[in-house]
Amino acid sequence: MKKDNLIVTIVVCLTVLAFAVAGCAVFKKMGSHASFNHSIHVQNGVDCDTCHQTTKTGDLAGLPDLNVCLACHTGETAGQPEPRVAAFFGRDNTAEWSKKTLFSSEVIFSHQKHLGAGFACAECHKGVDVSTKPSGALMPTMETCIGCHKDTTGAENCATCHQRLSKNNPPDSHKMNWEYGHGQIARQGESALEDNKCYLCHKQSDCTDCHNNNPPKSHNNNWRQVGHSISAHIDRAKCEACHTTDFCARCHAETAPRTHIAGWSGSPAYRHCNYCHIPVESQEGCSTCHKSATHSGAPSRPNTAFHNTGATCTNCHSVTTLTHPINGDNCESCHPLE
Amino acid sequence: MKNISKIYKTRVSVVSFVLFFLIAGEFAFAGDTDLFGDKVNGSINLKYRSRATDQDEDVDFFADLRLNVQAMKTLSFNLDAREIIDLDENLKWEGSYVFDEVYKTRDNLKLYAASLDWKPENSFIRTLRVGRQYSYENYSFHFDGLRIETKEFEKAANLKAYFYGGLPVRYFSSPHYPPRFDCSACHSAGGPKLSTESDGSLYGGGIQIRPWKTTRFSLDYTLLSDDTLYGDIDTDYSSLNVWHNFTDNVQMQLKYAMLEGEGTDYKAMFNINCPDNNANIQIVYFKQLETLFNLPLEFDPFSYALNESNPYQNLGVYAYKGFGDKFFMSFGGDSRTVSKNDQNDHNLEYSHYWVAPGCQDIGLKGLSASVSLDFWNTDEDDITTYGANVNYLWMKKLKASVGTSFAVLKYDYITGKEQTDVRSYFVKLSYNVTDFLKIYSDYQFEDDEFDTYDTFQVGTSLEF
Repeated sequence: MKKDNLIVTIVVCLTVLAFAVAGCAVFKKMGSHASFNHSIHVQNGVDCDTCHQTTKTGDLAGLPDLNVCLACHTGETAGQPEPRVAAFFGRDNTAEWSKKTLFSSEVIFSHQKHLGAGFACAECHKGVDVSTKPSGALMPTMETCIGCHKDTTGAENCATCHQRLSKNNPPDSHKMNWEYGHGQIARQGESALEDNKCYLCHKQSDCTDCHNNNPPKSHNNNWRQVGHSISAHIDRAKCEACHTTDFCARCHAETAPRTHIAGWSGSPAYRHCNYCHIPVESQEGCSTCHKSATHSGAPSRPNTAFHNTGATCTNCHSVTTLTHPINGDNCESCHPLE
Repeated sequence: MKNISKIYKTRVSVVSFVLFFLIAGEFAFAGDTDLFGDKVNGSINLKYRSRATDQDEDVDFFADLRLNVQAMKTLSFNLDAREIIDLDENLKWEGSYVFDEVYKTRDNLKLYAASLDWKPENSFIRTLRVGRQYSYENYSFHFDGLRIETKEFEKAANLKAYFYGGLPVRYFSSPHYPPRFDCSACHSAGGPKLSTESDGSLYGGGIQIRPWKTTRFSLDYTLLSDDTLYGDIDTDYSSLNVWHNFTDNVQMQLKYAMLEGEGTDYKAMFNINCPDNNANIQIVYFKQLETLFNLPLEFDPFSYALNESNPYQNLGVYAYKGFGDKFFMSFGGDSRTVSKNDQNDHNLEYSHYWVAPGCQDIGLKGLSASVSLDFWNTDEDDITTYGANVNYLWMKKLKASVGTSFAVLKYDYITGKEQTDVRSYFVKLSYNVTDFLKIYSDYQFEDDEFDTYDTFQVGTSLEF
């Protein structure tokens, strides 16, 4: 077991390292966009569409090319733009959107339509006029959009803004073994459900409905009768997703195990309760179901000299005469002294 | 009387199905479910299930209703209920009945949610909910009562608070909890009629702050008072949670919980998404610090059947990777360690590994297939399951699935190594008559050491 744990630990560390390395590449790419100070430009009277020239004519806002910047940043020697412009454009004289400030291509949005309807840039890009560097905070969130598009709340109207995402086309996260992985998100509480926007497609009753009608694949007829006990022995925490103790108690109190059939008298030993519950005399034995009685139907051992002489019970009470199988040689576990 | 009851139930079920199709058909052919406008929505699900072995059979009818009514702009009503009708009434109290279950083979009405929500517009209250409801903030509670949640106060680090209180909902409990097996002393032959009334109360609340956009803190507290066979038990549970988004794709959660004023467990979870690489990994570490036993239901670790739950630690890794648009694989593992002194039959160390590769749109659009392998290993018991299934989706309307699974359960009881093999096969069909009306049917065959089982289901679902 310790060797297995070591292997698991090593695999985990390597996996995390691999993802971290891959992630670093993502992070580095995300962070490579140089800072741009919107505040100074606004203070100097530069309108938004001076640099973002396609806002009134197209869907995208667009980024300025080098010549737009050089119109003001004439700077030093021609061909060698000021350091600020150079830093923004990089060596190849192109500017790129940061992933923090770029809508997914899956989102349908037109700057032209919104500006044509009379909206100002800062109504959606709140704080852009005072920002000193680009950040995700300047981008409108879905709540910003829904604030006006109130009739689009709910899964039925996803198509207003989304090309693909809808109730029938769930987010990419739902492809990633979501049936198994969603529990970690759900257990973070209602705030996490809001952060992940589960409410857009799901109601609370959806949880109940799915858990009721789609039990785990392991929950077949054998599971109900035998298999669940083995799994519960191994990992009871997994059961907590759907069950509470009283569910076990009710079933154990009302439903006889399959082995408790036609074997309570005269049948092979494995029909006795010790087939599943060992040792019988311990708390974990028959008391799993028979909570209060040591054995309500078992006669107690008579308190007579003959029965206290230390004689072996089976000398008189042989296997062939008993009405039940013998549980080893400790008869007192069920037949206490009177 | 029993036969009359059975005939009556069968007629009710058949009439329900017919009525359903008449109503649903109106919607389907009219192409319109806005009979009630936008103010009423929900769903109705009806299902008929038949199960049989060579000696026993079981026939049940299920009806689910989910309803949301927007009575006013600020007032709404929610209902979620399920009715189960046992059509065969086979309950062999004195013998063995293969399909004897706690509720699925007997008449049962379950009300999961029935609440009134008030969301005032110009108030510090965000939501006031009265009725049967769930609370997911601190722990998952199901109760009848009241819950109040405030709005976030931006000037106070987006502080918000919530409070709730009421009677816990316990479907299987009785005032005699834990139940006595020898119920015939009090209850007549034919089966015990255990009450499902709850004898307890719970109160709780918490606060949450979001000092900056990427981080959230919460402090939660719950007091549960339980009237048990052994007397009143008061238990308080509290937890401190931290959520932090390092980036949009890297999240962390830390949790520390206390029971009765003593640390009971802590958890650390990291979730890393790599959408560009179509990958995701989740790492969860959990440690239980103390032995748990005989607690109120909501906190109890199944001690009735499994006795105490001893301290342990668990490390889990769950991952997904897509390869292009057609191939994917999910995999992961868990490892639990328990100290030597704490190990026993119900507190085991284990290793758990699983892998499930799959593909879609291979050769035929809409065709997908996956296989799965799951392996649990302890020093005493092993469980190995593997299976495969193939799905075909045609025109986004008709979905057909076939599959099989095989499980090997190895356990060590008095006779040494025991082994049970379970093989099952299934076929499922689902057809979307319209966007809001669906019918489905499935059949499963299962074979284990006791019996062979045939299970047939047919159902329909209407969303409005």
